[in-house]
Amino acid sequence: MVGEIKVRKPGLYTTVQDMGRFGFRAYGVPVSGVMDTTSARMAQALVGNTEEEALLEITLRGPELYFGCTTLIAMTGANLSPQIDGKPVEMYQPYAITPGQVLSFGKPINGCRTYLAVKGGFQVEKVMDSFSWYQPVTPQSKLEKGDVIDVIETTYPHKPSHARVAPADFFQIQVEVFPGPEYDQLSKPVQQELISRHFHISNQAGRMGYRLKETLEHYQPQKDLLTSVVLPGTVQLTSGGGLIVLMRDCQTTGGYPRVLQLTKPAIDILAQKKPGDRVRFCWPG
Amino acid sequence: MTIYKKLTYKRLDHKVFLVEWPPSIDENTLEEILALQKILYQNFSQEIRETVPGYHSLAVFLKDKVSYSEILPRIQESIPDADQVKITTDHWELPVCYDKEFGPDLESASKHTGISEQELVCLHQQGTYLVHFIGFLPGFPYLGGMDSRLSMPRKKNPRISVPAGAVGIAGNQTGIYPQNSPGGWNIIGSCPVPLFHPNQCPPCLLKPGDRVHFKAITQEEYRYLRESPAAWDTFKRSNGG
Repeated sequence: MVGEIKVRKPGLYTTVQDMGRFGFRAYGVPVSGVMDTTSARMAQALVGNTEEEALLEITLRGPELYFGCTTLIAMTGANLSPQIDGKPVEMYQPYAITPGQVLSFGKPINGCRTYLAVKGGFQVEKVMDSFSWYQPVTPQSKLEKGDVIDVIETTYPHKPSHARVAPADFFQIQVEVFPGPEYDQLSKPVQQELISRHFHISNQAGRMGYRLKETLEHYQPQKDLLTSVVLPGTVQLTSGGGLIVLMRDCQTTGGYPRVLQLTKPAIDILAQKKPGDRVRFCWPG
Repeated sequence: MTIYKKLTYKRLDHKVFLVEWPPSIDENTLEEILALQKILYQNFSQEIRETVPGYHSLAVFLKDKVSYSEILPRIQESIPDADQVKITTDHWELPVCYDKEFGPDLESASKHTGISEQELVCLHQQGTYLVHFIGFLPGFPYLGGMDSRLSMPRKKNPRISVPAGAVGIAGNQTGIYPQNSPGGWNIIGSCPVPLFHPNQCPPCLLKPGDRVHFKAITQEEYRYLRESPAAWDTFKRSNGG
């Protein structure tokens, strides 16, 4: 049986995601997919889903969702003060929902992105092998007020579960990196500055990329690169000495020097940072 | 094909590496990239997830179980095979309406280049443009071969929204926006033929190695073509081989 979730409030930026859209980069199609894969995998596991199902990625200010059916949900990642029918609920554990219940969110406590999984996954259209929302590949880019999303109604009663997992570490400021293809072209002082100082996330931070506030003092602009591939986790150095860390919805190619590449766990850590937060690049040690 | 001897290999990630040719935007490099891409898909389909060309590079994405150090020597051994590869490409004549309504930057472009608007539109149509690769936005073709007299810098203040189909010039390049997006290119016209269809296979009208001509159309023709998906295929002029 198919049940429904009605969107009463969309939240700041709520999207449907899976692990990403692979095999289409040569057509200019970004990978997309969840920003924090570790947290998303945990949410899926808590409701017994495979990681291929679609789930919601919720950013800083959460939505208000009305459940029209019985289902099992779990939330992981950022703590945005989730409530069911106005009562605070625990994250990182499965929670049985009965028809008519409302999930809402309050104040952001820590992190940036919450993952909401439902048993059986959100039933949205698969486009180019993925559920992940990205316009113009998918018709919609984010949840809007009045949207209705189908879910699979679970007809059996859910027994209370004692499954729990440890939450993400939101205090980690070290992000592990490898040298990017153009790292060697930087002068020694610039290389040193990249690795030794702290950077703050600017207000221009989203699913496409995070622009960092500080610029590199010693950087002398070189001539632009001929456009070549970039990846989520690629750190680009702009001509003004600014840094952009590309994230899951980033374009497939770019022309700025690729000075660093974040490891996969580092991308997950950065995905939970918000404007104003501090990070420091480090070599894997 | 001799540049193959000058290839370098750079790692981007555990499972991604770049094969780089000497930095240059030219047809020979493009041919070699496409030939190598074809060989890789033929010989390593079980090990390679996808490949992405740039102007002078091919990024190779390995499947999770494959190790870079193990596969690299085998890839290098297969490079001579690329010499025998034949790439099939197409030739397109894409309609563009250069009316003021669709080309808000024609006037400033004319001022900047010192070429009259009419002549500018003519020069733009005279070019044969080579599709080097698709990137930036879904379906966006990086086109080489623009007349250097048409070169002009990006706009100082990028537009918040450039409409899908907009034909623009930035630096030494001309291009077509496949969808609405912010952008700093100088817009001189609009092409009514969509370049990207998420539900078609392949999803892009153009592919690397294809050649493109532009042909001026009237506003009436533009409006008709926008509404006539059946006509879109007819812009393919020939199989260039």
